[in-house]
Amino acid sequence: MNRLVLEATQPGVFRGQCAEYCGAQHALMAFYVIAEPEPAFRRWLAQEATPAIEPADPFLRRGLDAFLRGGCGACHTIRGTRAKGPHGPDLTHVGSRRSLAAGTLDNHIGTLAGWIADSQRIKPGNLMPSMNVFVGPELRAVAAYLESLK
Amino acid sequence: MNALPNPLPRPVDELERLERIWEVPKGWEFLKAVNNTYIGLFYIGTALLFLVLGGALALLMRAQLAVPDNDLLEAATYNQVFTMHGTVMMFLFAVPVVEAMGVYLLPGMTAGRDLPFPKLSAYAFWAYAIGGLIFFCTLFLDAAPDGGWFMYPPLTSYEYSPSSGADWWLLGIGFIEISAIAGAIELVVGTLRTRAPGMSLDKMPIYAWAMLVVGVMIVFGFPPVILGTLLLELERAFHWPFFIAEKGGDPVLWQHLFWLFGHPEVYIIFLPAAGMVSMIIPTLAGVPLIGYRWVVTALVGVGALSFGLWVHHMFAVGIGPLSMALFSAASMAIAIPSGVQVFSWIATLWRGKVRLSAPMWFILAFFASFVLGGLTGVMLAVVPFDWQAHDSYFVVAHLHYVLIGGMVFPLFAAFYYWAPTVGGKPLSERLGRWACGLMFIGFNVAFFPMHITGLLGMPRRIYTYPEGLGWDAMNLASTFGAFILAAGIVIVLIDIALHVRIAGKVNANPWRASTLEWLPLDNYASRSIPRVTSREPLWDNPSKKVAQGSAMVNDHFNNDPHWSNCVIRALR
Repeated sequence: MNRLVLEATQPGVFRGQCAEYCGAQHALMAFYVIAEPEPAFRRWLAQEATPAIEPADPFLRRGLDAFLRGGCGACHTIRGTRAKGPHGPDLTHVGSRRSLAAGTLDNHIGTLAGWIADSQRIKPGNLMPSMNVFVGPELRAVAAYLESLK
Repeated sequence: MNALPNPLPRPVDELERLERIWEVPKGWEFLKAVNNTYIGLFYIGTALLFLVLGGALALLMRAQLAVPDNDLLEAATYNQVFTMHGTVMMFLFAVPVVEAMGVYLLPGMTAGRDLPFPKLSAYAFWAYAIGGLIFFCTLFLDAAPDGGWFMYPPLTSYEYSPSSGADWWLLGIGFIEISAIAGAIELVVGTLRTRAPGMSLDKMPIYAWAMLVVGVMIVFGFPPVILGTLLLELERAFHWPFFIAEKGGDPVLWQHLFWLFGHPEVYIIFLPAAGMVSMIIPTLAGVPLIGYRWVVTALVGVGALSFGLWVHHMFAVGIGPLSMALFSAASMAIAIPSGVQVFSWIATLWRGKVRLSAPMWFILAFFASFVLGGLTGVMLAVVPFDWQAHDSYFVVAHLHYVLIGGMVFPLFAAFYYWAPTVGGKPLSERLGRWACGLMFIGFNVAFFPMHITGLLGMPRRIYTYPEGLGWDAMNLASTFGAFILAAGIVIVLIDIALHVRIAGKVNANPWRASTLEWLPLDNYASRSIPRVTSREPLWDNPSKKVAQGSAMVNDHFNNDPHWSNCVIRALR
């Protein structure tokens, strides 16, 4: 296994991209390296280690229920809930992420909803099925809930 | 050496017997022709067809990348297109066309009647033409390979590439490799065994030397990839895990097998082109090549060193520091013999009086492009730089500068230079200059910006890119340049279609060249096999005034059979 050591000489956001052809969506395999001063990094690390907060808002509550009912937990983990899937990315703090789908989309409620509903059209061949079981308010609720996971 | 004309009498019926034995089959029987002239020309024509097909794929890619977030081609289609572009250009154009030129030119240069095994070259040609066309057609059935032209597992193994595309690649390339080895045996035996009497190795034309070295390289270089394709096919078909790390295999093994072939292949493509340049420059400068022995040494040196460089394709894979240092040093060292050739060409041009005709323009385009490609090659040989530029558009720029610069420009120079040996009219000087200008400008507009997009972080093999990364304008420029380059190539093809006809009987030496392929030739090659006493037989032979007299030469020879100090070979 190869390791890549990056040395940031100043704080900032650095874009990276997959360099070795890796399959159908090689073009959309980007990432961001965020370099922060040590205290800020430690705060971020501590925040990442906490579980997701139980949503108080009924609309977000509905989103979490739909998420669990829709079977998302089979692949995804949200620490602090029943979702403990090992296959997909951990979504415990997905709302604080900078981008979705390996740098393909900015991260906000609209792109979250779009990705959930039709991930196969945005990035054909990726491992997440298009979850078009969610429609209308239910889709908005799931997306809003995920966005709230800061 | 006897005085001229040679007083020896000719055997009775000599000419009639030659003509009967070497008669070309008529009508459909023409497909059964095995004469090197015909097989060579079919072979070159088929390779040009694949240049056009591979080029069309390149234009599709450039159209897709012209603007960010373009949706002209889907990801799956684009991945097939770039894989086929690389595979077609390397395996179905570049290697076949240099072998084809060898099949066509070598017997003329060494004054053999044909290559030693004409049916073997016919076999090599037909295996290549039929195999190649079937392979190309997979693109229309959505069954083309999509793992990149070097087909790295694990991506190309059964788990991640379950469709039949990779199998087509492995089978198709396997057959094409066998065809290439058949052709190479022909070239090696041909140069070693069927030279004119008196043509010792130190009098052999440089091109024949280049083809001898290349033939040996193919014989040693291609078996590793045949082995690799066998192993990968066994893995795909029967799940024998040669390359799967979790089951005890090693994906890096594939990379070694592939590049142990793949790097010599680059020189298998370049050395014949260098050989052609070493033939064309002395003629157009009117003086013998400066440093013949140095150039021969350089050809052999490049051939040997090229087997010690393959790991420079793998610097980013996690290779130990000792190997990296060794292969980095070897990669830089190969610039030395390549440089020897370049300086020999410059010296020859300097010493002579250069005729700036179409082939010479193509050679100047070759100089400018190839030297730049060579310099970026030395940059990439530096390991830390390679880590930064690995698999970026910088590498795409580099490899096109060495391949188009180092091989396509000399090849087109060769078309303009040797067209009179085919028959019909010579190619048009005017069209040739236009084509060269368009190709050179288009080539640089297309590929120079890729150095910069690469350094700005654009990876190769991406079907699209987001806007705002600073890649947009340069990609648009590259697309424009690609179409200009294509226009130049189309002009050459039109020129060939308009002017070249296979005549079977040729008697012109318009460039006043010094080597034997410019003797008046018929299907049976030159009527008498000349005895060679120097490296420039048509210049140094007492009859050189005759040989330089271009169009009337053949009549002269036919009327006066006792030219020079001919020896007549007993016909088999």
